[in-house]
Amino acid sequence: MRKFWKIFGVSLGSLAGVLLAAVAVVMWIVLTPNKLTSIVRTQAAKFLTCESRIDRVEATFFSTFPKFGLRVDNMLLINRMAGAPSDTLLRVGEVGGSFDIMAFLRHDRIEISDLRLIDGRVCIFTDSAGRANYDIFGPSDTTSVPADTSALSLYANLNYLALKNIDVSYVDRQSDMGVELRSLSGRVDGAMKGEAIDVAVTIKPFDLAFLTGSGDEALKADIKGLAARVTAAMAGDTARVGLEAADPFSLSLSMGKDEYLHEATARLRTQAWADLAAGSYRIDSLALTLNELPLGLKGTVAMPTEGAIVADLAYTINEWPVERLLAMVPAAYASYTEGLTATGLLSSHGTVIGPYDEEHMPVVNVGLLLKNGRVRYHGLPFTLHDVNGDVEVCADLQNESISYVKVNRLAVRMPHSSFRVAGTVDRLYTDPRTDLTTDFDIDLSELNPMIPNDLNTTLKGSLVGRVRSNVSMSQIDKMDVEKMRLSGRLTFKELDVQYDTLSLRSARSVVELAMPNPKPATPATKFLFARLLSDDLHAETNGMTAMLADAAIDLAVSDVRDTVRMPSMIANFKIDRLYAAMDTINVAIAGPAGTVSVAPQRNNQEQPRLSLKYNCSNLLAMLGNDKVEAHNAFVNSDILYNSNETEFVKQIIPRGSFGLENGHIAMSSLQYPIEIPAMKVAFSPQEFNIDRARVKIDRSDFSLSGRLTNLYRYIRGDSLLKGDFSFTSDSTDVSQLMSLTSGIGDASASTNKQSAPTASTEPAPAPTTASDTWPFMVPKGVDVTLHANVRHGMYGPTVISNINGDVRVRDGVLALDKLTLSTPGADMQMTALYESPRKNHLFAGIDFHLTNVEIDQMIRMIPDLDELMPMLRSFSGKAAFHMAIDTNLDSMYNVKMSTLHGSASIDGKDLVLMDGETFTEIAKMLMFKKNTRNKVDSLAAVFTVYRNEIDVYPLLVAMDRYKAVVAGRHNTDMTFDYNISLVETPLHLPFNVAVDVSGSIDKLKYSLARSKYPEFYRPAWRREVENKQLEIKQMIHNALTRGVVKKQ
Amino acid sequence: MKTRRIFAVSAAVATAAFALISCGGDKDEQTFDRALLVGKWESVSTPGDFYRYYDTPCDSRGATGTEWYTGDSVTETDVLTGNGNNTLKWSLDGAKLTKMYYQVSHGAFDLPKYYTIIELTSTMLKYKDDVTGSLKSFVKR
Repeated sequence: MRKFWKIFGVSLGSLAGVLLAAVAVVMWIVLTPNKLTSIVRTQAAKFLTCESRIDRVEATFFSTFPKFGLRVDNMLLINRMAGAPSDTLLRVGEVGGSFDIMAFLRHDRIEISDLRLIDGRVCIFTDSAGRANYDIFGPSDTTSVPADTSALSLYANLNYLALKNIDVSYVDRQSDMGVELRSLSGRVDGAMKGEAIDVAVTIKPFDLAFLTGSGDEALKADIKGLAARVTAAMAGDTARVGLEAADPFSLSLSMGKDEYLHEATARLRTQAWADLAAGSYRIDSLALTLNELPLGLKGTVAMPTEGAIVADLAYTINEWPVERLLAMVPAAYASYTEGLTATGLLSSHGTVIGPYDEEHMPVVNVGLLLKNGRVRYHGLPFTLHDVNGDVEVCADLQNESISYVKVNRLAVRMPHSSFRVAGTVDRLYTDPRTDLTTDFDIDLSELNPMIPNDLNTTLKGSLVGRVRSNVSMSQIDKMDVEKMRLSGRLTFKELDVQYDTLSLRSARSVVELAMPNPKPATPATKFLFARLLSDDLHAETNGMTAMLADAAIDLAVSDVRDTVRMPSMIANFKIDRLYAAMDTINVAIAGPAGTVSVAPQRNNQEQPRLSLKYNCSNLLAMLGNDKVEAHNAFVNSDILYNSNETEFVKQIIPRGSFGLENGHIAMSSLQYPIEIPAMKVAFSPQEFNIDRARVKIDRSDFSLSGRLTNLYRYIRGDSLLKGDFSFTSDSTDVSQLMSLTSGIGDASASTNKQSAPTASTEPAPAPTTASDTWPFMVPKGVDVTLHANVRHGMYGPTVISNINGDVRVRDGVLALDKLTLSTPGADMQMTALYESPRKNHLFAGIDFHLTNVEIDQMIRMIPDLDELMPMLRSFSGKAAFHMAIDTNLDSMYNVKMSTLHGSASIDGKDLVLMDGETFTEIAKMLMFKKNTRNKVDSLAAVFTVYRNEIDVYPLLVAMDRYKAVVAGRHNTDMTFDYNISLVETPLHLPFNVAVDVSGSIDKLKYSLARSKYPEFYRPAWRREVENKQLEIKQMIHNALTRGVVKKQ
Repeated sequence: MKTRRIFAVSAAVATAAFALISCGGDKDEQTFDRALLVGKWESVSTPGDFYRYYDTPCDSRGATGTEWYTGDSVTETDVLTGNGNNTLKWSLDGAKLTKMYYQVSHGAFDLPKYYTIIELTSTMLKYKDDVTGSLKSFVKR
């Protein structure tokens, strides 16, 4: 613009000079219009290098007296230049003016006081080489100028300039700029004396078009109807300009194809100073109103050198309605605001300070203040209101370190929710980084319309919280989460989330997040810290329910996205109550607390180590009617995992301990509940070490301690599970324990307990209870020894005291090794084997000793003995009884008679032979005297059992003065075949008397018979067969009594 | 009269004594081929009651015979894979067949049974129980 005014002034001066020259000619030569016109034409031709035409020149004197006036009609200057929009440089319908003739005459000065231009057009053109079409004055012709005119000077003292209907076109190809003024009318009052100008310009509405640049960078401004009052004063190099366009004018602004303003209504008022020599400009005030949006500007702009600008400007925008701003958004950017409706008042203030050139950019400070905003967007189901913001922007394109955006406050309210954001954004030009604090109070139900329907999710409740974020754009682009700084605290109240089939509810829960972890327990877990504090948390899905009450869960993790390194995690939890249910399963835990951690192993960083520390005050688990309850349960465990191993048992290596107090197990599969008053177990890959385990089962109460070893090899299937335990009990129900442990380790047994038998010949038992349906199946795959010490053992109705010895279970074989027992009438020792190769084919082998027992009690204890040796009923007194019986049993423990083998011996002294019909009959046939005492001095019986046959080896019965050898067989069907040979008698008979006793118990036959053992106990007389029988008998007796432990 | 009565008693006692004394003497000196005994036999009176005599030991304990009665739901495999119950060692001396049954509780073959073979062919076995004198018959299977 400065250049334009310069050109305009020069043009005006040139024109005035031409006119003054014309007036001078008229004044000095001819004053008639024709002559004056001719003279002017002639002189114009001399002065001007371009084609000119002047229709008429008229000098006035009287009408402008005392000033000399001149009027030129239809003046035309034509200067053809390539590229110029027009050949016409100047076309004026009327040019008039007056000058002071006295000043001319007295001071040889030409003083123009009035000038008017009417109906004209000026077309100024400068080509790209800088050639101007107004350069129309030829070189001075000193020879043609009179000598006395050399002192003549032109002194412009312009008091009045009137313009009417003047069009001005200015095209500068060198600057790539064009200005078009249309219908310029106005007046200039003031003085232009030489270089001093003090004018007041009143411009009537006119149009102005401005264009600079080309293509997409073409900046175009259209001003229509601009009426302004301009005051300008210039003295020397100092100028003052005041401009006021109080009446609205239209302003359009575009760049390339993008129109930024379209006929915006504008008003302008400004006051400025300029120091042209220094190239410095000061704007005291500039008030621009654009579509009734006021903008204030003040400051200085200096151009100390060519192409350099130093600005110190400050602007103010005060409460611009946002809706008007949106209406002014260029069409090119309309898509960005499509569907957006906003109101509110936007105020701004700012400064632009600093140099601007090819190497420098000024520092821009902008403050934005938004008040009472309301935003509605078609993507939002609600209106944002009370949008208030206070944002500061500092931009120095050359110094990023001081450039920032500071959000002092940005608050948004939804119908029932609100957000507040504050913080800064820096590193604006390279990698914008935000450090923001966001506070929010959200009614979660308001978010439901924004959740995609296919997520099938609804939210209820409130969320109050604060989140701090320190994140850069590059971190987001690269997802460098580990470099981000995020922290926050979210408080959920009356939360109710429905996600598909998952339901989550909480009256109050707090979630705290921090990334990175501010207080990592280990260097590895510095990536993230999360904490959940919940008064109550209910989760439910597909029939599963879980509830946490007063829960505090801390979680610290490493960067789980790192696929190279093994992730680390530490979770601490402390929960007042936990409840979970699924179908008929219910679990309730009081006071669960502990730590779960996962970390790389020290010696193998690629593999994880899992640590668990857990304890609770109460545990209750129910499955239907089955119930498990415990107090003070705890688990401390470290588990090493090795994924390189193919076998599961090698992959997982656990160590640790667990225990509980007051345990109670009640299950339908158990005939009696199990109580565990105390238990503590340590475990490792190789062994379980039961430090103490007290157990109560109905009438059984025992303590177990010891070790279970060989676990690793057992799980691999390479070896038996070995155990060595001390079993101490005050009272033990043996049958209950057998029922409880029956079938452990036997897959077929456990399977068959639940389903029909397999293809074996086993008939399906009636499914009543486990104990009566199935026999005791000895656990397989284990080799466990119990060192038993039982004060009272019960087996059915029998109560046995002081049971001591070893009970060993080895891969399907149960062995009682020299178990000593006591009953009120007898001391017992028993070694027994029990095997269960299949359900209907059991084996029982018993080596049983009663070392000092009343015979009648012995028969009561072992009723089967009466069947094996019915003659015992005839004796009374104490005896030692030894028995070894082997047999197979069916599933109901019935003896398979075809497999029954055994041997037994009875040693007694001073027995009493009970009087009875059998004895009477035998005594009569053996001719016992009637006064024979029925006391048996000694009895040493050995008998064997084979199937249903009981063979009684020859035994000597000594009674009073009689001795008889008894031998023979009886069968389990109670049929007999005995021979009783009398070997000593006081009768001194010449022959040996014997009696055969045969038949059934109900119908015995007694008959005299040949003595089978007449010399049996007379060594000198024994025959070979008799000796063999005695050897066999002694062998059996020795075998039976071998290993009998003598009571101390 | 008294003299007659004493004589009668004396004669009766003498007769009885003679009878008792004279009953003891006879012995069976028959011998049988043990090879004929080897094999599987089934009781004639109790079908399903099987006995097998081996020429060489059939288990690690040295048993040379097994017994099983299917009526008790016992199979030969049960015996051979079991702990020795129902296994035995047998010997044949002339007509005397001795079976020593294995007693698991003792870990020894120490339960004897004595029989006297009456008939032994490739298809038929008969022996007498030495205690009761009862006969038992078997057919080869």
